[in-house]
Amino acid sequence: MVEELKTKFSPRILLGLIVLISFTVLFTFFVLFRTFNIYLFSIVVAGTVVGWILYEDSTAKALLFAASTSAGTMLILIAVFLFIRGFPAFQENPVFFIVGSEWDVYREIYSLGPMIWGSIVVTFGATLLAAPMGISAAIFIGKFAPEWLRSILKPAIELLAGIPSVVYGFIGFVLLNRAIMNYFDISNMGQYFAPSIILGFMALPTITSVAEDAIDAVPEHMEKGALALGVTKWQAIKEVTLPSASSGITAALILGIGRALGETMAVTMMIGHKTAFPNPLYDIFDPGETLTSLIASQIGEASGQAVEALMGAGLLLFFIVLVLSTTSRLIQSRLQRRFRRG
Amino acid sequence: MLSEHEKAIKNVMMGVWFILASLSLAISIFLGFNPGALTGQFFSAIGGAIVIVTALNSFFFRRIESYQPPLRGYLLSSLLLLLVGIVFVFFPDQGVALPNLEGDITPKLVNISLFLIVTFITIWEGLMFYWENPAHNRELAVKYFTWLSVLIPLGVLIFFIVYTIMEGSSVIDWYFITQETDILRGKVGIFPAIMGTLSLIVGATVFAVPLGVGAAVFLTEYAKRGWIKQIVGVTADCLWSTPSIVFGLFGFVFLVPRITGHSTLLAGQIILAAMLLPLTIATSTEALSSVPDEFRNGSLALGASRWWTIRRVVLPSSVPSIVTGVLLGIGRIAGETAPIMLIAVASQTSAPNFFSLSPPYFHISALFREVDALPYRLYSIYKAGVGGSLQEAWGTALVLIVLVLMFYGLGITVRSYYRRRRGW
Repeated sequence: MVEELKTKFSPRILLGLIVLISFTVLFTFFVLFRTFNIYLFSIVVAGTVVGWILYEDSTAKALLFAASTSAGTMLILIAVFLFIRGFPAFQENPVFFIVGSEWDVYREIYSLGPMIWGSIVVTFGATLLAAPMGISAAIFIGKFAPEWLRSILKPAIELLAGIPSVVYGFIGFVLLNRAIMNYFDISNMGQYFAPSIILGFMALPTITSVAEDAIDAVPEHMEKGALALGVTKWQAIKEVTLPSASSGITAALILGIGRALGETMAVTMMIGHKTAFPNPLYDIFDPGETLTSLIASQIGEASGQAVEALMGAGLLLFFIVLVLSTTSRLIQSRLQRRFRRG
Repeated sequence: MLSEHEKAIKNVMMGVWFILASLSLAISIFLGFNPGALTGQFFSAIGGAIVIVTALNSFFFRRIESYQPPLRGYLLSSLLLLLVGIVFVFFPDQGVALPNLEGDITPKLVNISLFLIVTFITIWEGLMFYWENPAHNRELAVKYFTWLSVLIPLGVLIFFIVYTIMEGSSVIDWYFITQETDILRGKVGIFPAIMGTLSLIVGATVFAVPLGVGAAVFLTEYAKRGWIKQIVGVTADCLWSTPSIVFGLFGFVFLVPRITGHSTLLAGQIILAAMLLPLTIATSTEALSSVPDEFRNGSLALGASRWWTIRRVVLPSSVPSIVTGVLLGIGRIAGETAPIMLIAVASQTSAPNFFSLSPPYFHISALFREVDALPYRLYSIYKAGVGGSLQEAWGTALVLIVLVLMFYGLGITVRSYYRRRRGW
């Protein structure tokens, strides 16, 4: 009996419990009461050090487990805090907040309609450019390019995603916006048209690399079988590879749309910042605003109700992108499962 | 020769083509071809182009049943497109001025229309070439088109980099990258921004790499059930695709009030670490699971514990791939502006000084001050009105691009070097 108790409450478990409880209390204090207790923190550190010296294996395992929860904790914290700060904006009149047509800081009228429309227009334009180009680039890199060319092209496309968005925005602002203004003789520099072109090039690498992975994941013997029947390579790609990879390509498109939707700096620097619907609605040469550029350009000077409304916009954006990326992930994992089975 | 099925597809496509053309014509008529309505002009140019091309083609070629358009027609029209495009971009006022009826047919408009018409001729030629040719020729068309859609983005990339170098290299000298701006002497320096960006990067790496690699080790070595992997994978994916401005908002409402109440370097480092974390988890998981099981089994068979095996066998053999992933991730976060804009930066601050020559040699307080950062410097120049300091902005952009490309180049070099050396 005593022996059993001893093993049950061995110092290892006791130590672990002390560390766990102090860590939980510390974290709760930090999240809820904005305080950071240095004593509890030293208990956690000291406990971990003692545990590491005495029981390296299990302490390591516990630490690794803690590390693996970090991403989830971060995501939950983001969701909860955006919700707490952003939900009040929806509470009063959710329909007006989403589809209303006015955003006026001076009269304190806040609705996101024009910005949602702007996001849709800009993202649609970007997708129109990035989707066909990105997918056919993926076909070339995955199927037509020889090995040496492929090993050059893949990192080069990655590099396209590596140029910082603020640089894209600056170049687009100096070159593209001015060229369009000069060409079409319009007085405003910011339109929906210019940012969607730049955004297209920014979303393209995402689409290409994910679509290329999907094309690569199709087992080679499927295409070989078609080739053995005497079709050309393109016929084999068109009739066998692409249909099998279609769900992966869809996932790539969704991810690309998510990227374009969430892109901030380039749009902020190139768009006209007019928080109203374009007139007429389909006028892509009118100045406008998207959800991201609204937040980026106004949060610095906002106060009171405006902050709430901007948080609401952030919450909406977060939610949409979350849905998009989860859908994409589901499609991808279904694709993987199918090929593992068959 | 076309099969029945393909003929049907072709007819449908031609129907779609005509519908598109008449739709945009209708829109343009509806809008009126008045000088104010730019979108109207745009649509009418497109519609007109489609109609002209289609009419020409059907008049000249569609009657001949056995006509097989050669590849050279396709190539010729794309060459024409290139030429007109060059005129379009570089010589906006050099077009032909048509006899002026209403006072709004300018050379620019003629250029635009010409560009659109040639674009549609090219597309039409491509489609014709594809439809009317036997299978082995079709492959040529497809190859050409896909190759083109790799070349265009790469061309854009190279153009951006070269243009930035051309514009920016004239301001860059020793003073520009090693000193602060001196208003009295009228000299510009971005040293604080460089140091700020570097300290943001270093801090983010210090926070993110242990967490990310630890998570990956737990997932590949300890987690027995699939659902833990699933959950961590999904959350990392969601975190990865979360827009950067949302990270900024989160830092603004969560971190800033909990640290000092104003912008701090530490807050920026933590938020950038959160953005780097998912990529670290993904690449480390991939790296660790590519280590063959023989390595682990060999070590375990010698009596080593699980943790010892991880520390001495699994981690060392996957370090190169992890380093590659982290370097690529750093290249990504180094240029992030939106998240740090609200929580970490202020323009025209001096460089963070952690170290000094007199005691205390290390100043932790630098973590709790604002910094300047390269991307933010670029953005604030833009915001202040570009006219005056355009040169400085290009110089900053160039330094930023060089910094990012350095991390990318380093990552890609490490990857290709170790891929060749790796024994399994």
